[in-house]
Amino acid sequence: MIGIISYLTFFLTITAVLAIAVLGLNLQWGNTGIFNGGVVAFFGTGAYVMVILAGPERAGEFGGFGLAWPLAMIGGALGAGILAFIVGLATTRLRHDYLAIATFGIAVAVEVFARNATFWTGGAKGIRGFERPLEAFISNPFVYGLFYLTIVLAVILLVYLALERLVRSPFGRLLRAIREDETAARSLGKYPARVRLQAFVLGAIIMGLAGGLYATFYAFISPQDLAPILTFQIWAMLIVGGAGNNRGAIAGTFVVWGCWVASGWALSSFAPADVQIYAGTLQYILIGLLIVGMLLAKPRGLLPEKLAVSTHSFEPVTPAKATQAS
Amino acid sequence: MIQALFDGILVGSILSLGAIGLTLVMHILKFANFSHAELLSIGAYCALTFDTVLAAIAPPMATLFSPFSMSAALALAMLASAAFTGGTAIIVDQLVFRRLRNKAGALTMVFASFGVALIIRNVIGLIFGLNTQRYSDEISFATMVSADPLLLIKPDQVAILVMALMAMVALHLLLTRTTLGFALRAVAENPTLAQVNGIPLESVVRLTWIIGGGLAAIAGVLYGIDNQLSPVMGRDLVLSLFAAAIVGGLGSVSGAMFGGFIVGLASSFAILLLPAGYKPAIPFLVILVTLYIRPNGLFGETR
Amino acid sequence: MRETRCFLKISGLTAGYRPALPIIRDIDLSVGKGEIVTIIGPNGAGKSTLIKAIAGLVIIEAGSITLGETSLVGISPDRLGHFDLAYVPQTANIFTTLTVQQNLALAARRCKAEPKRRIDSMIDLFPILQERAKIRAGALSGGQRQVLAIAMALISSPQLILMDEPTAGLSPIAAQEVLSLIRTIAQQGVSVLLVEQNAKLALGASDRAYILADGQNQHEGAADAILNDPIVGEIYLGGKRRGAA
Repeated sequence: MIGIISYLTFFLTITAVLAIAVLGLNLQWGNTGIFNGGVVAFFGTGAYVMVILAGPERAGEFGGFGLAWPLAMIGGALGAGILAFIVGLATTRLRHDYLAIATFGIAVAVEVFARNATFWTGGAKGIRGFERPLEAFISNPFVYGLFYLTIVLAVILLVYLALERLVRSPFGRLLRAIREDETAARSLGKYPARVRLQAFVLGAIIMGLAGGLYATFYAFISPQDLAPILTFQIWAMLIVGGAGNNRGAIAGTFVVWGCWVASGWALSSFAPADVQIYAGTLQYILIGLLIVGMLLAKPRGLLPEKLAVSTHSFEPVTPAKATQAS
Repeated sequence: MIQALFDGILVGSILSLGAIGLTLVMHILKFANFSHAELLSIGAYCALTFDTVLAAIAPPMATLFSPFSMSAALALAMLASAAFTGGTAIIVDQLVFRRLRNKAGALTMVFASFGVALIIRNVIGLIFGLNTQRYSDEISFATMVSADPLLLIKPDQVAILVMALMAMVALHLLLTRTTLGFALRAVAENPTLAQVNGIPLESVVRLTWIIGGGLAAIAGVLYGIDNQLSPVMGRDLVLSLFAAAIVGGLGSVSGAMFGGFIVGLASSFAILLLPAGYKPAIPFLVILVTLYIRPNGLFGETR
Repeated sequence: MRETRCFLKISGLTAGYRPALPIIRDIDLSVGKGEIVTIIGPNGAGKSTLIKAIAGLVIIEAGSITLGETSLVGISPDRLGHFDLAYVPQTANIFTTLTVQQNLALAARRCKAEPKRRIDSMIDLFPILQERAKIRAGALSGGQRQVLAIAMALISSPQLILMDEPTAGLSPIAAQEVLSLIRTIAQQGVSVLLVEQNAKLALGASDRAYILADGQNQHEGAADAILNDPIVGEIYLGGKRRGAA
């Protein structure tokens, strides 16, 4: 029984951490229509900066500032935000797919940096020996698991409530207006590029927060955690749940992460040994099919957005095409 | 120094071929196709299959042209692979992108292209195995062209350069000498006007995929000859291709060509300054610098 | 007056760029064989939308468009040539990145028969195109651009040409030249439907005219009658007076 609860705690913690990142992506893609091709870069930056600020002293390497955990978490989130600002400043004014390319690029760059800049990041071996908050006081790992889950759930609740307020605020309406019709928003005297940049940075900060929670949970971070598949998984979660809807984003995280874990377990338990080495390959195909299939069959996800400004949001009609169809 | 120059030009010629197709697709279909680099993998593995089959049916064809590690079988396989890859690109378009084109925005297609890339890459891994492979097990030796400064060149590398340039010349002739090429450029400039001048958009879209897929396949084979085949070669090349297209200016064929060489040279010179581990990040730096100082690229129009 | 048998006939046409958002409503219009008909009206009246509807470029909600015996509703814009129809858009009506010759070659591609001879006949008709054959069309002057655009339309020997503001942005002399070119075309039996901002100039060259405002027919009549009608000026100044449609 304890085993099951303990596993459930573990599963819920990871799901909730990922859900926070999905919420950040939802602000960018779902609400503002900004395409982030490198979620893992901001997630990873949040994780690394947090560990460096609050983590152990490492011989001959940067870090060991002994900052209090909440402050380090904020630092990590800000680090992710600054990174987003640098990329966003160059791209939010340009054709929209430039940001997709630039963010994809920064994910590669962050992983390469984490792998090679040993002085800053510990290189391929990563950073170990992180002391989790209040770990010294809660010695029972089972109780600590529950305690940490509570922290994560508190953070997700906070992020969720803040985002719900945000999307209902005038700023949220502005985001959706820009997503629907940038020209119209500009003609009303708004600066779409600036607003898009704000939403992009804010989303990245939330992803950084998720990264910090993730690194805290494992008390360890390494370049392995920055694999590009994480970006794809987080997208799949959002698109399954329903872009634009925060509750959908959380529900999608449960569904997709559940499927991922279950498929991994099924493959490792039932697949013959020679198929085992392809387990990851099969799972990646699954994520790819999930993304493409959802976009084709149910682009609004399981829980579609309720606050849509117009009914045309995902179905712009080009005159020539429409005539052919009619 | 001179070695880095040669290596950069060599890699650049391969990137150019891939980036030309990418920039055409981005210009005519208006979306950043993250699965374009997977067309290089499809092309490379498809040629490997054809090469093996041809060598089995007609063993004399598998004789290597000394001093190259290439055979008539591989040359034929490369051409067949270009056609096959072009066809595959059209099929993927029909299955995924065309459906989204009619009902969703450009970013949804970008999104889908990531999914498509993930599927293609891993299906290749499933079919051909996760280990790297080579077209020929013969070890080809480099010739020392010059001792000081040191310059080592393999015969294969000269052949790669020549073939890449031939493919570029062929494309140039197609675009500047045939009405089919005019039609493609016309759609790139003004789709509506092209339509009222009797050009069916969907057939130009298919032509774009054939050219893009064909060039990608050739690039993939050349990359495979120079390095080795790996199911993740698309993942390793995608950022370089985008960097080349952006540096050149989206939609510009000559821009993508120059862009390819610039990214190739930047990567090969960068490892003179930085540890080799940083090499994968160089294309990103090229993109970032371009976007900050010349966002429309060298040959791009202002938008 | 020329032969008045209807060649192009539009009735009850309602169309727009998005479904259920019509720009023009319940439009009736006809063009006879070899007739030059001009559509005038204030900005935003739906003039361009009307001829785009004929060219298959917007969504048709209701009504009919017939050319001779054939219905044009729902045609694909790349098949205009099959209906002996040509359309010259307002701006960006030539491919600026192609040479003059390439533009013509491309336009001739839609004709099955003898594309080569057709290019030659256009070059004979417009010697300026011969002179400029090898230069990029983007380097042409405004008047030369219109000549090229009209040549690209004529190359398929259409029975009806739709032109969206062919004199826009031209000097008065160039505008006159383009209009007299249009007259020459019509004298050869080709029907022309024009949209014009420059009403005085266009009416001087036309047989009949329609006045459009708020996406609806307001007035119709012989060109010289409208030219001398005091009400026209009033409508141009934004008056809402309904004409006898």
